[in-house]
Amino acid sequence: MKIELKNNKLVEILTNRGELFKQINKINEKTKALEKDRTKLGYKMNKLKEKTKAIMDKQDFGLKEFEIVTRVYAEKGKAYYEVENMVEMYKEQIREDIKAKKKK
Amino acid sequence: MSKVEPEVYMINSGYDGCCYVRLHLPCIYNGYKTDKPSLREDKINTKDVKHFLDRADVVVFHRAEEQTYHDLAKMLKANGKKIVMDNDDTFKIEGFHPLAQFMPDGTPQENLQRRERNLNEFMEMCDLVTTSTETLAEEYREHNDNVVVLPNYIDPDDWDEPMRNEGDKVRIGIVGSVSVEYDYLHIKPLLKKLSERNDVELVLFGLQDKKTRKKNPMVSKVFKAEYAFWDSLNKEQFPWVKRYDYNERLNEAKLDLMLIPRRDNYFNRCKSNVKFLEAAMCEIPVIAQSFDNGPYEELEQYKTGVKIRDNSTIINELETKLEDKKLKSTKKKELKKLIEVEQKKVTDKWEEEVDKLINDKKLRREIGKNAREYTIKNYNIEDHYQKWDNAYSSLFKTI
Repeated sequence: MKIELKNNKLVEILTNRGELFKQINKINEKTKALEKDRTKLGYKMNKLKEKTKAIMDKQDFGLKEFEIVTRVYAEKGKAYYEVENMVEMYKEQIREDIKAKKKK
Repeated sequence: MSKVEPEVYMINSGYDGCCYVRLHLPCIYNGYKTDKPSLREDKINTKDVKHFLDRADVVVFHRAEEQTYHDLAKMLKANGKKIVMDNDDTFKIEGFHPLAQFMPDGTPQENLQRRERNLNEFMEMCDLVTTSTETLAEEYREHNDNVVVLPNYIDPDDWDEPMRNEGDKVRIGIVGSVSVEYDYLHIKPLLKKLSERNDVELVLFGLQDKKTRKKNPMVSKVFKAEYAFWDSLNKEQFPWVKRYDYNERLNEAKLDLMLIPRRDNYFNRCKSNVKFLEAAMCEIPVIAQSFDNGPYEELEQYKTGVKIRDNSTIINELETKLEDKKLKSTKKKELKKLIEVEQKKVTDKWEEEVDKLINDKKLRREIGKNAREYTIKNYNIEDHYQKWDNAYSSLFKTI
């Protein structure tokens, strides 16, 4: 049963609500589509990471004891990698911890 | 009316096999969430799993043979989710088949019947079952009315430029399950001959290497005869690799020719053409066994591959007749002779076709190139991924 409720204020509020609902729905749809696109890109990124790993695994970097490759990147059409010494990194971390303790 | 676009979540049973083509590629192209977002992923984020399962409208299980899958699916279904199962193998395996005891990677099959029963029960509660071939679809329709065929596709992005063999010898390969599933028995004499030829390098891509075998004596026992045969051949071996290394390794094998001698039996009629697709992406021409509803019937003779008609049905019929104890010895002799003739017929045909391709480099190259073009034109996931969305959307009323 449909009964009219005569209240102009209520009509205005409900109409506004309806409009907002439509707008929110539109944004939800866009968000959903964007999230889907982001997921697809995430998968493609994973694939590229795996391809990078496959190439890096085959390289002989001639690393010394405690050295690791921490980064590989492209710059101006060339590929580079960065090597760090884990012992030095650990020492640096300890130094920072000591500094932080002294400040306290 | 507009199509409903449900949120889909896919639950893997591992990426070291068909999950890659069945789940991972559809996920990448449709943007579905999954518990294993990359090939090398070996940890599952349970928080994410819970979050995305809550949000999902459709949950896809791959080969849901374990009880835990059943329990989870029942719970999800009670919460209004649509349940889908995907599978692309049959569990109706004959007892003689090594797969009845072990998977090719050495994982015990445990109780095949139990697993088959679980799968069948799972299918009965599903809203949809998806699979790769019409033969499998027919099998699954005994347990669910809503079965859709979603073929296997390839992603060209997964494949590097085909590598070429620059050596003097023709590299001929047997790849994957063909080397363990008793499919090669009828070409054993040919393999032996090829391994002894000076102009051929025989390549086996599959089986475990000797070191790995030692770690698993039970598997070695089951595959004893096969290992002994392959070990007796002069060949190069690429042992099993993880899925994420497979494409590259296949390309690096630089095969000039791949042999797929699968015989006509129920297990092989359920197979998809994926081995051909993978070979094609490396421009490797294949010689494959042909039979009704077989996986390689689409190959165009000397254009995209070479087919050799199988005669297993005739041989099987003759062998059945031979089992009749009332048969007179003359009739038995006659039947035995007929079996030998039929066996020789197919073996000779294999020799003939292999020889033809060994001696015709130009034809090999043409077939390889055509096969790659054909595969990219017809089996590129980028052109077909919407089929998954269409199948899942059909579970909901249009609005």
